[in-house]
Amino acid sequence: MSALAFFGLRDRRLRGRPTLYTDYGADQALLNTPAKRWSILLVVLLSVAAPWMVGRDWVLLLTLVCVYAIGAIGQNLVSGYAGQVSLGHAFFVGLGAYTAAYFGGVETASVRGLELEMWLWLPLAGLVPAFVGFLVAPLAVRVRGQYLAILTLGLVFVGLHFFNELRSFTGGPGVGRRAAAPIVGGMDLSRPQTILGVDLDGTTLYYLVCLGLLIGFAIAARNLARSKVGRAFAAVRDRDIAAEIMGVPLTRTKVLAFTISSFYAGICGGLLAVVLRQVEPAKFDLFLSVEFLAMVLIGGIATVSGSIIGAAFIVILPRIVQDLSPIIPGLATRADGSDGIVSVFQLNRILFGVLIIAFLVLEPRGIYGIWIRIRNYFKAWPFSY
Amino acid sequence: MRENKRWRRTTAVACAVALLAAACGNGDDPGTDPGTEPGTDPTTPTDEIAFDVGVTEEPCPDAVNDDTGCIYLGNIQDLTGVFQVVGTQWQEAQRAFWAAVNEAGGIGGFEIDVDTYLRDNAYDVTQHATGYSEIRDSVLMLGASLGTPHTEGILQDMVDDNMIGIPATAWSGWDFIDNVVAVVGSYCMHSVIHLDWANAQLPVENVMGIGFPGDYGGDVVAGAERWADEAGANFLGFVETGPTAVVGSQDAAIGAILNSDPRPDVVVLGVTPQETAEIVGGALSQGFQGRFLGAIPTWAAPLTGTAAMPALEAVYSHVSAVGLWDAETPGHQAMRDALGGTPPGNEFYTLGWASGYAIQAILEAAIANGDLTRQGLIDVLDGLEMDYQGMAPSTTYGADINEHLQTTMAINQPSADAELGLVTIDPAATGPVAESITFDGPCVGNV
Repeated sequence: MSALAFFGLRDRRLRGRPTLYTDYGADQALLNTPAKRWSILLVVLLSVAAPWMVGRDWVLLLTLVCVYAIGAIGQNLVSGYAGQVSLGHAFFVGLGAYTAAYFGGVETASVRGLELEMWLWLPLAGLVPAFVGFLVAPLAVRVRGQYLAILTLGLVFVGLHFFNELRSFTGGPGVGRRAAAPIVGGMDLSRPQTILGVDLDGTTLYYLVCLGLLIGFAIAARNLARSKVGRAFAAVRDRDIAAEIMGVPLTRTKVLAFTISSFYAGICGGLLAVVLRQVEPAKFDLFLSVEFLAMVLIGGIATVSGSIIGAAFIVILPRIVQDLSPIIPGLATRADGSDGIVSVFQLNRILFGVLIIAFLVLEPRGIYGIWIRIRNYFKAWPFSY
Repeated sequence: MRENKRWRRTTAVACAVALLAAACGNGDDPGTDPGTEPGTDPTTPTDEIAFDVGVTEEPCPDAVNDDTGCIYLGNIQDLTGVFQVVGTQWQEAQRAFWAAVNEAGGIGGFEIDVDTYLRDNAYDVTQHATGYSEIRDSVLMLGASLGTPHTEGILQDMVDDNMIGIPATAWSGWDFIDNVVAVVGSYCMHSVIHLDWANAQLPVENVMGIGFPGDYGGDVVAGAERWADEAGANFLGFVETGPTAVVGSQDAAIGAILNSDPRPDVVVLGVTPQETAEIVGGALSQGFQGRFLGAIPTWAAPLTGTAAMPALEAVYSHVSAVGLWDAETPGHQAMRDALGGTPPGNEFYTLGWASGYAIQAILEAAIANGDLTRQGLIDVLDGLEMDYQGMAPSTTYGADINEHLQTTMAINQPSADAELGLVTIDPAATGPVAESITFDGPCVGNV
């Protein structure tokens, strides 16, 4: 298909009828309408140009959005697409972070490291948690619902214990260890570099790396969702017994969901460790798992776009509240909150919980669901209902 | 229909252009001198003082005197997380300290602002990093950075930014890291001095350590082990425990004390007040006859109302690098004046106030040197004397930590009659090990 046809600019007869597909491939395409293609192109261009439009603090926030979005996609694959409640995501993120720190980090008197380059430690940061997820999944297959949630919750605490005790790998509680440096071909991607004649500071360069990885992993996840495997996930989510009767291999599907989700979580952990620079076991606690669930619920369950939107929302919300604090009544200015109703920091914590509840009650499809409502309203206008 | 399509297309293009235009550019930060960024030439000196990032000729947002300039200090504290009792009180002390300085005319024609660039890390490393990224281009230095791994995580950025900072932790590793100015003795040194004092009372032949693993409890107990090494005493081991809310109870730690052979003469504690009460009360009730030596965070005023108070009064002592809030020193009096006679929430307020003197010494030296840039602050550090106005021994900052270790600290004892539950029994305790010990690295962890 030519570029003009891709963006719906060739055949004027079919413009205005974007959902008229003339072949199966066009119907199943990831970007199956010109509007989607144009909007994705715009979003990608804006994302790439963002470091030159906003300050360094915002670039760091956007980097965190990209990293957390990869983890949120993994959470959505297992919980949204496959319907398996998992509270153990933080464990796999931590495992990925420490795998990356071990294979890519520097050896010191108290911790081990192999100082491998990023193109080696990043895949390993995904594969090791994926392997552990593969081992754990058969246990998860035997239970469902709240029992599965408790089982995966146990993973987090077991993981915390191991992270606290394996000090030659993790540095131990309260201290942690330095993360691996993202070095490829001798070039540190978190330090200022000149690429193709363009001077990039470390924050911008690493953001672009994470953005590229997010795009790749998002396409892979979306592709998985529309494939035979994705349809098996959906069947298991909707009615697992019926799916099994129809010939969907239940155990294999659930194990695959956990394994792929753990891979994504591990990649997220490896990339996150570079941002944090110092990886400490307490970071990978139950609250991190809840954050990933919140990203999925608020963004949109069973959607890749929703995972990205949810990650952006969770990461950027505290900054928005901070910037709006001068106009929010009742906000305290003192650190202990004694001269107001709440401090801006306490308000952030309150909003986090309130938003989870609000979205669950009012819009279970999340922000993506809100977008669908808006889009359908204008698509049907003036016959909206 | 065609007009509708054209109208929709035009609207879509206009919206895209508006979105692009809105996304361009940064917000104005009040603390950044317009037109200057790190690394560019400083602005034209005012009264022969060169300055750039984090210093302005314009007054602070809530200035006492509108004719002064403003120095912006960044603070990244735990205000809502597990150590909010430390962060909130430390920050309030900073606020009160600089308010008093500003009321007295500021420093060198500048007032100091610690509110505009205050960020909450909720004791989370990610939030600490994002908080730093928000303020790194707007402040002269970090007035406080709470959390050891949190501060280590932003160290590379601080080096890149030529930024110095005061850690609101007492990890022994800070003495070996550039760009970080530790203002009080480390937890490691707390234990050394405390054991020297205890040895003079008892003597001490067998020492055990109980604490949270990591930069706090690990550092406390590592100091006890170092003391035992130097003094020829028997170190019975580090019993790791956790907060009672996490591990359920301190029975394992108490059992380790009671089952130890030989039993310890003293047990060094690196835990929080809740665990202190449980361990001390539990061990004594089962026949333990030794003493307990607690670091700063092991005490809180509410312990005076617990059932363990009689046990604490009998066998527990507390060490602090800075004298208690009611000590009679010029610095303490200034703090009490600022508080209006009301006791602070806890002794971390006293630490926060004392840290203000260190920052003041740095700023005054830089102004006297005519260079109030970030590099100017670094240039005056080596050999700089920090006068804490009697709150703690004056120290000289320098490259070799062993030349300016804090070798005296206050030893305190629980008292139900005291405002915050402690009275000082030795304001300047020291001993032979404290005066001779040397360090070539952190007591726990690595740099």
